[in-house]
Amino acid sequence: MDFIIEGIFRSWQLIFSLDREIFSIVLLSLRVSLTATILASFLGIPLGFLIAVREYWGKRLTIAIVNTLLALPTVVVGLLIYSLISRRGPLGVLGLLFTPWAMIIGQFVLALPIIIALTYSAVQGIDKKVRNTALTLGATDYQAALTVIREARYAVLAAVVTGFGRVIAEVGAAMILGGNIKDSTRVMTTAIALETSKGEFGFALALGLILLLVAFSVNILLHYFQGKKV
Amino acid sequence: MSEKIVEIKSILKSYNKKVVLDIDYLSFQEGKIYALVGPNGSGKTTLLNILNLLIRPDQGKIFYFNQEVSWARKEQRIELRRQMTLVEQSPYLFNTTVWNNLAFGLQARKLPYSMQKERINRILNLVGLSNFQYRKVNQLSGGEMKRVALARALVLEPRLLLLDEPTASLDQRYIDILERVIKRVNQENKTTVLITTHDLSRAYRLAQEVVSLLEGKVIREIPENIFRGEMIKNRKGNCLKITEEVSFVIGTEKEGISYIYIDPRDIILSLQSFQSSARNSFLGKIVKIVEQNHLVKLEVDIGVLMVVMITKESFQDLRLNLGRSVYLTFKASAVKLY
Amino acid sequence: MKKNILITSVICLLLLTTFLINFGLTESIHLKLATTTSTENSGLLNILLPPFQEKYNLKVDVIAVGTGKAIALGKNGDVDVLLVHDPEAEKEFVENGFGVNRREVMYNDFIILGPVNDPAKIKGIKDAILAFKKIAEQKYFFASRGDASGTDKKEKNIWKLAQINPEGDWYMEVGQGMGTTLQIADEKQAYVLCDRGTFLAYQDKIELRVLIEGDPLLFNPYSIIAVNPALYPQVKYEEAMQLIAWVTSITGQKIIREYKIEGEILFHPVAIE
Repeated sequence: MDFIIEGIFRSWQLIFSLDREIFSIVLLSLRVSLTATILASFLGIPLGFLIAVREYWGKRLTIAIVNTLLALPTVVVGLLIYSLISRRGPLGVLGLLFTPWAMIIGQFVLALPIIIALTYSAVQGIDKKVRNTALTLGATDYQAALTVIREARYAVLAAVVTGFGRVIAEVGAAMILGGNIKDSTRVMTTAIALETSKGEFGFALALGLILLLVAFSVNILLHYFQGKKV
Repeated sequence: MSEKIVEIKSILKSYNKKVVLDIDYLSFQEGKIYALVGPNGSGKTTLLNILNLLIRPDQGKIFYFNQEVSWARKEQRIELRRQMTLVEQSPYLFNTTVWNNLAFGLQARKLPYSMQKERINRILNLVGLSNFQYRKVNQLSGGEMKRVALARALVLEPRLLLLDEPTASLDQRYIDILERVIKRVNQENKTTVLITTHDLSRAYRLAQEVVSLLEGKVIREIPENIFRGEMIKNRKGNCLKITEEVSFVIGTEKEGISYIYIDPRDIILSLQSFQSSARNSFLGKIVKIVEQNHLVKLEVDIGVLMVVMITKESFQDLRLNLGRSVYLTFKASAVKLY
Repeated sequence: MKKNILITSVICLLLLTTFLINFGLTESIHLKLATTTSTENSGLLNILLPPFQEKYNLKVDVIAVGTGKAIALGKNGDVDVLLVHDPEAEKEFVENGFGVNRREVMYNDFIILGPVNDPAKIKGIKDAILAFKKIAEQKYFFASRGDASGTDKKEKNIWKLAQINPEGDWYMEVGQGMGTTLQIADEKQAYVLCDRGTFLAYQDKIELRVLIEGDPLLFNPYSIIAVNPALYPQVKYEEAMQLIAWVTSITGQKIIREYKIEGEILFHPVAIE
């Protein structure tokens, strides 16, 4: 119990003191996770859409694979990417390991199946109806496809938010790929892990509360857009 | 003589090896109102989708203005589709404002904004939704949504308007508005209207020509013994209540108001009541006798009028005449949903 | 349609800025130092590294992992320099050509902790091996890191010297970092081998007591090794050598000697006799 009270107290202290280190950690977390989510959205939304609207051989298998990837442990993703971008790996020459980009790649891989799967289910439910309506009103195939996405926008937005929620809270991939380097790749979750290993439970909990607060703010922001948009 | 707007020849369409549409020839003339009648599953909706070039038939040819379009390229199909529109039985409204729904097709046609505005306001006025431009569709009632869907079609000023069951599950007030609007655009714009319906009386009232479909085929005659009734459950099982006195035991389970028909050849006529597996048996009086080749068509009043077909031989054996009391017996499975 | 163009351009802008922001993150020269969690947690590097970074105008990225993993990172050429405490693995690392210029930097010591009532009665014994034997004989709870870290290897080594193969319910391999292992030992009232730095950081949070210290076997020597540039040309060998020179210099060694937590000296420099 003491930790919790201390944590709440410390988190307020940290937020209001505008501690430079905390500030840069929060900022880096947002930067990495938002970039990963945005990139995953750019690939995942069209992919989810295509899987939903196209009939092709192996469609069920694709869906089963994507759904399986939802359960991918973050540490495993971290290790797989590590083996690719390590100096000994095929992409070693790029020197990506222990940079924010390495974390972005890891979180991208984590967010992608979520965004694909949720976009797929959002689009699949409305696709035929919306597409036919758009076509009967004289839309081109391309316009009809855009209309389907637009009609699924709230559900697709929810997919993006869910993806963001997973990556901002994950620690395994960020730890392995980023290395938790102070002032360089230390994000909120790896900082929490570090403070916990140092026994600074109150401080760790405070960071946890700040993470929740950040995630909450992002959600509120998106909710606001949802309400605003026609 | 007005021009044929659309013609179809030898159309065949099947789903999962089951033929849903098999039409030798059908044509529609510009400026007329057509009613397409037939029971559920008779292929009405499939025909509308084929006419709107949304689905391709497995075989056959489609002509618009005497030009074959069966294998038209994408651009040409879109161009053609922009001269007509289809309102589905339960139309989908885009989750936005009424205005944006109406503007959708106009924007696809790249109409200038001033014209969009003029048309949208005029059509909303026509369907009685003048102040609804900026309402969100999820705040509308069912009837209002149907009118928005109709308005969204009319605003395009199509040459061919395809309406799938526009009157289904709606109250009389809206049906009146709908019929008035359809007649008006037909007269003012020479719009060809093709409307599917269950309701024969409405079809005859509204349309200049009625096309009847049954199991995917165009039939010359409209089936006898069509009744409208309410589905109820009583001690006999699932019933269709036609009047206070008359109700038919029916094989299928459905709710609400339905149309059914009974093939006159499926009805057994007898002088005495007899025990059988057939669930429907009624006592009535013969009110009309018409000879047709080797068959005799009888009209029997059992509280409602029913048509029965029997052979000349049976007619003579039973010594039937006008006013004679007879029993009509038929199975629950003979009562078919229309 | 105008709205669509607006949305598209906003998205493009968003994408562009995220790229720019992230590429801007890595400008100056970064030297990657893999070290152990216990070193990082002790706080020594926060004092030792800043003057070096200032002097040579570069940044040292500290990657704190277990010794086993730190050495693996070095073998894969993913870091430039190691500061670790597992002499045997270090020697093997150098002999196999992965590392060059290994220098001993400092040592601290391991201690054996246990419950206040000390059921195995090991307090005051000067011999770590004997203490381990006593614990194993009576099967008192013992918490082991079990993560191939430097501390874990030291512990396994002591068991080996005691000719005991620790097995059974009493021997808990927790597979976690030192901090977590200490907490588990505290909750279970178990004996545990711990480095002094972590214990000092945790002493307020646990009830375990120092029971054995000072056995030369428990000394914990730290070495610094550069990753072999002949094997991985990309490694920043020159900067790594500068760091090695710095921590073994008179100034560097002085900083190590004077570093204290709550009045206790943590590390003893050994580079200059």
